[in-house]
Amino acid sequence: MLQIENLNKTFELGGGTFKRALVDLDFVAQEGDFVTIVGSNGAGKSTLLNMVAGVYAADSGTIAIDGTDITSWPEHKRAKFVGRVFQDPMMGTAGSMTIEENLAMAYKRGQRRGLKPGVARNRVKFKALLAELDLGLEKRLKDQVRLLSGGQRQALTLMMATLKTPQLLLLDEHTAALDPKTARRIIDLTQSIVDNHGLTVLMVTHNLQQALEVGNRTIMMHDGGIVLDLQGRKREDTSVDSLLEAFSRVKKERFLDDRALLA
Amino acid sequence: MLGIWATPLEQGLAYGILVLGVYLTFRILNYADLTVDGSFPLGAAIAATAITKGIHPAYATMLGFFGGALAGTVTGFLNTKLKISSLLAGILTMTGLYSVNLRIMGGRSNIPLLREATLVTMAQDKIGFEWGAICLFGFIVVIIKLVLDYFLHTEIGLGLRACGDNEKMIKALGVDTDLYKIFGLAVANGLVAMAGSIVAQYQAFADVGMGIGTAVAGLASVILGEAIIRPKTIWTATLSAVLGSILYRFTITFALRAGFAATDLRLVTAVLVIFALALPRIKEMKLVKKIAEAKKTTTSQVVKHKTQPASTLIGSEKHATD
Repeated sequence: MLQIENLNKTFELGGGTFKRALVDLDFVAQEGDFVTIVGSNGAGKSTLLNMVAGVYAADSGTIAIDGTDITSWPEHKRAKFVGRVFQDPMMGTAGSMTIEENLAMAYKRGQRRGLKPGVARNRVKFKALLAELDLGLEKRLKDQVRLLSGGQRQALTLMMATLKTPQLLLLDEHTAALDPKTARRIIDLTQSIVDNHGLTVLMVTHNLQQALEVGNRTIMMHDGGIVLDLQGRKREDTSVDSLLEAFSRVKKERFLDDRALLA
Repeated sequence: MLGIWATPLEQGLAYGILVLGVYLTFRILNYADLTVDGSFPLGAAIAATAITKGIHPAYATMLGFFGGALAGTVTGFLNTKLKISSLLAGILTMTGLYSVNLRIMGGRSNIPLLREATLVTMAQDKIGFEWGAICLFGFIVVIIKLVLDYFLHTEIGLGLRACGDNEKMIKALGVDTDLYKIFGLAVANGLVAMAGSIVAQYQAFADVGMGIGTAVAGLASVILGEAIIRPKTIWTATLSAVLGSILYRFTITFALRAGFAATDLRLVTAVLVIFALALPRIKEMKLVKKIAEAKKTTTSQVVKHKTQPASTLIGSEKHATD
């Protein structure tokens, strides 16, 4: 489904300093995989997602979805395959536009846009879909999105990202900015949408509990590489504590490596 | 019958086409476009030259539109592809256009149209001298307003609006935002140049210097209209742009009658725009003062203890309204 081979990305920080965000990264996700990604700040989690989405161009390596090499595709073209939800609830919707207009734009994700009225024909459909969210949004089709709460906006973004079933759904800490109760609701909603459509998902999270509970596979990133890949029985036997342990072990190993290098 | 208000009404409607263009860049694309100062006389230069060469004024006006669209495309290209900042991209195109406009006008800085048949003279022949221009300009501006209303609700139009609202999001939904921005700037400057073509026919000359200050005058009109109508939908926003244009011309006429010299008007306009842009900030400052005063009166009655600074109060208030 998603194949990443030998991917490299280095950011120039200015003043002659560089940050190697991804280092020779190999990764394959199977169709229907729901992969949660953990790791400390600067490990490369968000960079990985942004590379797949096409926000940054690869220095070297390839990215392919369903056998199509998309490495050189610009971001807007990749939208055909990829649905995305961001950490900031304001980021995924256009605040000055109405709920139905936002949905209409999402309904055309990755398709040709024309001079036909954007909303009119799909209003009934949007209403029915919004009713499933059970947030009362189906009565507010003509309200500007800026009037909604963060949780409502994130629920709407999630719906927009999956309105046209994507080959791949990218969730970048999409519950991190919400209060615990709302975060819970969004996770449940994510789970049900993913199950309904059988989506392939990459989800970055800082919540280790959530990382192990949701999805069928967990990878841990460190210094631009994947250092742990848990699935099946191995994943079931992993607790938050052992994940944390693995985490500090990895850090220490790297630290010792550096020490050896410097000595 | 209309007396002294005929001229500002005619001007307001003619410039209304320009204000719709400025609305498109300033409010829809969230882009302060200074190309306007160059594309407005560009339209005038093209139309005037074409009319003196014997081309039908309707076609001459259309040519003006396409010339402006080309200018907008250049600005869009500079901004999106060459990553030149939006203000500078506009200034560069505008500066270059000054030479282009002089070339189009055959090296002359002024082309008179006094003896030519123009759209305005044609309308005045048909409808009558008093109402001719008003009907013509009103008809054109209403058609453009309605077409814009429709367009901004189409699939492409929604994408264009999202480019100005949340570029990251609409890119993630598959819109080539560079292309859309260039297109938006092209249409907007097309409208501006079309207004230039029509104004040239209305005043019966094209002048290379007639563009100075049009961008700011356009902004002033947009802001003035919004202050009166407080639009919440596209339909009312375009309406407010046109009404703002008329209101702006009335204000100018009023200022002239109040004793301002014609040469003072640019300053009046600039101050008007500054005031309108500063208004939210002024309101905020007033609120801080009010809360501080309220604090003073309550704390003097109650036992003195640590109070929350006013700035944090403002912060929380802002969140509530956001």
